[in-house]
Amino acid sequence: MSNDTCGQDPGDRQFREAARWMMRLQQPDLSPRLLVRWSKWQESAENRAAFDALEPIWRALQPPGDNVESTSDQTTPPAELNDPEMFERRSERLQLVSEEAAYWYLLCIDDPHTLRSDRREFLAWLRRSPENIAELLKIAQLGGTLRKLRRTLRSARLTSAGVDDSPPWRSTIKLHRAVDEGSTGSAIASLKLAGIAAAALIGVAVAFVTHQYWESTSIITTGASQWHNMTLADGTAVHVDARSKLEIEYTDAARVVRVHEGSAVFEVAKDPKRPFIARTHLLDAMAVGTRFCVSVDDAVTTTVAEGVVQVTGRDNLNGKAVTLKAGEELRVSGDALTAPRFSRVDAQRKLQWASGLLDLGGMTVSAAAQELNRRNRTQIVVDSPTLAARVIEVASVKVDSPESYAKAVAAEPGVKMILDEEHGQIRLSE
Amino acid sequence: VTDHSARIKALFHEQRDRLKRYFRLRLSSCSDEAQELAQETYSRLIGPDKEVSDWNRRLWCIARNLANDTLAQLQTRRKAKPLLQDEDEDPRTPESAWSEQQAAAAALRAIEDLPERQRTVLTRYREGCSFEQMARELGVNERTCRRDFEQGIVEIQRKIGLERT
Repeated sequence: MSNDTCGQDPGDRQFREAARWMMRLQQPDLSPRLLVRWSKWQESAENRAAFDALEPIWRALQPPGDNVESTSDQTTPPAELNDPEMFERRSERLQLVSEEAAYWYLLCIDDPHTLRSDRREFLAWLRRSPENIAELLKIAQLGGTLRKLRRTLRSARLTSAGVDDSPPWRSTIKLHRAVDEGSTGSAIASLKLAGIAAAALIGVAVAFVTHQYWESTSIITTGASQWHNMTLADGTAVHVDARSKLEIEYTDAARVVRVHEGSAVFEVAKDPKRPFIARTHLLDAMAVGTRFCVSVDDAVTTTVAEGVVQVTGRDNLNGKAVTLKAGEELRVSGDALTAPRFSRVDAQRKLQWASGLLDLGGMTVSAAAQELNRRNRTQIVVDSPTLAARVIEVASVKVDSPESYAKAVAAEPGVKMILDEEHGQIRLSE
Repeated sequence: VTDHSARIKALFHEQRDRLKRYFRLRLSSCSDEAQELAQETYSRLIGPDKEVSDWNRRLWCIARNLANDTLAQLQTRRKAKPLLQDEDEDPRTPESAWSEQQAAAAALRAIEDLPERQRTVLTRYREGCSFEQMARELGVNERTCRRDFEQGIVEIQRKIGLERT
């Protein structure tokens, strides 16, 4: 690429280079090395003039009404619209969701004697996808509509006397009776009551779902490539890392969150009367209002980003307590609390995953891959030991995107990347 | 700290216009938005005084990630567009909007005079077709499609330049 600065009008070569850069710059994973080259390319006034002259043409060529795209390749309409097979698969999936929603509606919403195990399973199904919730609500609405229709028919004395169509919920039973008693009255009054009954049914269904949801949030479990952010009743924000399990036990005296495995960052709401305790099998980390992280693996690591956290040993470590300040980290395994070892860390950087990003700058490829692998289903495998030991400068990458990190590494000269979709692996080698 | 700040400031002054050009192109955004993003890049760069071997590279790394994040946000917002119709205002001035319309009209006229394959590539691109798909349709290499696209743009520029003179 040209770097000369002779101050003349741009020629064909500059225009061609400018066009090439326009194409390249659309790549979301363009390496910083190339971007620096692009920056150097702009040192020439001719090059800049060529680029600026082409820019309006480039804009004019962007798909109409869609002038914001991350890559030129992403201008494709949704793949399923072009691929009949994919379209069919999606239809089949929606059909399946619909069938499942109907099944659960009948089992758990429409039947007052549902087993506890069924309800638990129902809840798990609901939480699996927003599509499931949407479909269930649709069916609940339909359920209300059907009842309304049934009552309308009854008010017109069209139903057979032997049919038992009493609704399951007490509130609606009362309304139902009211409809029966008033069936000699006008059809309009019955219709109104039926409408109220339908609304009540939907309300009860939603309340049931909501109640079950809140009841179940006492245990939070995340799998690979799953993160969970929530705000507890007191305003404390909890960011749960992938492959983690937490249990929330709030009482009037204390706010206790048990960290069984994995990591969680807590942004504790101030409440001097009720201390916040992150409890693990080895220790309690107590705070009043602060931001800190507790990670459980073969040891327990407490990292404090803001404020002060008091760490107290449990069971065999009972009675030992140490205080951690912002920027300090304590790793405890076995009886290590008797001789605590603090380390100074960049806590904000370490806890950055809670905001969805990982700062992998300055880390070896091996260490960065490890950070991503323990959180994601797709695993990065570094085949070359020399590459594993190399430090490759990348800025923050999304915590759920090992692909973007692998691409950044692969952009380095001599590095190859192979995507092994069958085994869910990205292999890097030199 | 002063040294660090001064170094970052000098780097930013040197790179500011280049960053703006990058954001303008990457996000198809107007000058003001590009300016804001360049400023945001600078804010992120001046963070903690870290040991960084190549600040220029770091700057561009931040810019690239910021562009990617902003694009993702814009795409999400675009999906929610039906609910946010009122907020969908054109940030351009009437003059720049008119000038862009003129340039677009001239570019689209110029497409018609291009050689057949270049014309097809540019037209299909404008319809939202990916280069991969175009390559399949035309039975050529994807790289060839990209080259046709590049040449097409340059050719359009040449024609528009001649029209002006």
